[in-house]
Amino acid sequence: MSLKQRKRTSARRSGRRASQAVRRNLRPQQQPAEALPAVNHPEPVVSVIIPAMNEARTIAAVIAGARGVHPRCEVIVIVNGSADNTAEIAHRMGAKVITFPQPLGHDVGRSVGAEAARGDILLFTDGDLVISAAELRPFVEAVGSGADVALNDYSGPVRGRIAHPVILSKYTLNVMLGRPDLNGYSLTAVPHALSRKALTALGSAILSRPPLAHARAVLDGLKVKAVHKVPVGRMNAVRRKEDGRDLLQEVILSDHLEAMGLLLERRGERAGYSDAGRRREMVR
Amino acid sequence: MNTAKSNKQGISTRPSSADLQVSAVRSASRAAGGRRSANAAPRTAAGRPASGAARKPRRTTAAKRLAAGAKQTQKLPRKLGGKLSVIISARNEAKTLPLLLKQVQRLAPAEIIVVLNGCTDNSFQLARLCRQATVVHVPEPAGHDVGRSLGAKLSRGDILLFLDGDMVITAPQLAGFAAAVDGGVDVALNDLDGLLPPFGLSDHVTRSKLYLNMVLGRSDLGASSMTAVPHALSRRALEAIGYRELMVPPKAQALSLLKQLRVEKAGTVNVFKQNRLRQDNTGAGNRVEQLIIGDHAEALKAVLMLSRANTGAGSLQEQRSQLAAWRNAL
Repeated sequence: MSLKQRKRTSARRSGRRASQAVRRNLRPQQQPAEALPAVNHPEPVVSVIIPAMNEARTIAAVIAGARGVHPRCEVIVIVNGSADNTAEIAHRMGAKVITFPQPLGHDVGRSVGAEAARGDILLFTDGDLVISAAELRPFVEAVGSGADVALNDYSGPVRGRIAHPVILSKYTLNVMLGRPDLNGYSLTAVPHALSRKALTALGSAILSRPPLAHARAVLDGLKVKAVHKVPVGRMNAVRRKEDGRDLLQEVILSDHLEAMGLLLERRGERAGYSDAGRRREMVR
Repeated sequence: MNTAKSNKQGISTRPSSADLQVSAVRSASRAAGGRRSANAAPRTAAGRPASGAARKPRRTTAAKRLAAGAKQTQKLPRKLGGKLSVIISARNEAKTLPLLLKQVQRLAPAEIIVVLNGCTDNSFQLARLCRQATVVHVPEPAGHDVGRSLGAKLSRGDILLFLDGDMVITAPQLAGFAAAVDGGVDVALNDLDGLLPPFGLSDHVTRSKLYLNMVLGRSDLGASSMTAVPHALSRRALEAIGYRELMVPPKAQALSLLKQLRVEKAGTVNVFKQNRLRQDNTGAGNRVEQLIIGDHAEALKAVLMLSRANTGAGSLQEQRSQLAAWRNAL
């Protein structure tokens, strides 16, 4: 038996077509920063918004990835509450840097960045997530071809019977919104992109509370679409907890509940779902 | 077609009481009823559909029964301290209703209330055969869970066991729910968590149930819900919730938890297996699914109303920035 034939068998077993070339490196190559212009375009089409807090270790690679999404691109880094040289590195990488000595608060950087953005497409990512341009481009392209909200096609781990409370909230919010097809995709997760139209409709302030922005986008009839999967859960750093209580989780959960409230305000107390012919007047 | 003796007055649930025929045929002697049920037990056991025999817990009960060789040895938990009311709602369940009634009688309840709505088969006649049952008959369809609410209103017991006429559940399985309430639980729920698929594959209804419990700080309840039967309530719970709210079971559940009632899982009865597949409860986006999602929306409305009253929205911005600082160990 020749070597070729044996190879073929293994390909069949793994479900891969024998003719297909084996991709040794599944992770896309990171583009070297030097290859791209290290300045913001004067008339940007895409604004990449990167909130960062003490991310000196990763910020250069994050900006490098962001630069590659579009030839006419501006990178805006919102450095807040940083004790390290995050701002300095971002500046050196040619990004527009907005600095706040105090921490702005979770997701508030997104609002600040959106305020400063001039592009027609706004791409949101985070200072601690190194994502290549190739992985970011689909979001930009989706908005470029008509979507208003381009979401990360990633729900987090859902193999167990019980999902994480935040994942459960995202799924349920989408069900209640009448968009179960969105599974657990949410504006809470980065990367995601917004059209200028979406930003104008929602306003930049609400972006600090992503679950509410998410609900508003669906309720306002914006085109909300899941476009590409970037499994950010694996990249996220494990953060501190206090006596097993995750305070951030509590904020996200209460934002989701408030998003439900918004939905009920807009669509009525059954969120627009029918009563299937219940004759309530029968029982008094 | 129905010749019910309308000897129960004071049920004025609808303006035209001619529509609503109530037949209250209460057995004069409880003892007679008890004997009847003892006789009924083995017959049902023999004639039970194969679906039941395939399940493990039931096989054990059946095995025990065989080993004992006598009908009296069927283990039903100790006698209840409180009076048991069993409330069965049904619509065209002539096939299963008599079998369920037999099982219910074995529990020796103080009363059995059967609420029939929109029946076009002989459910009514068959229900009347159970001498102890109070049969409420509403000719036209009343909608989901309206029967429960109506039955609860009519009930007088201390323990209210809610069942659906389309599902035959054996007496020993039912007994656990009544016993839980007798032992101090206010809302005894059916625990279906062990039967759920991975979250990624679960349906929208299950997710809504999980979410409601989680929001109310009771993730331990899993997907247990008053939407599912069997479940039992204490009289105290019924009074705290209000019988009208039982029409929207998730809302009733939210109110129970908000009012600090004791809500607990009280056993597992696989209702998925027996649930009758109908046109309106199968497939994604079916009518029943839409209904239950809407019910959960109503429940969340109740949660929001109460939680908003309790906490002022206030300095959220400040909270957020403090939180960020704390998380990044500044």
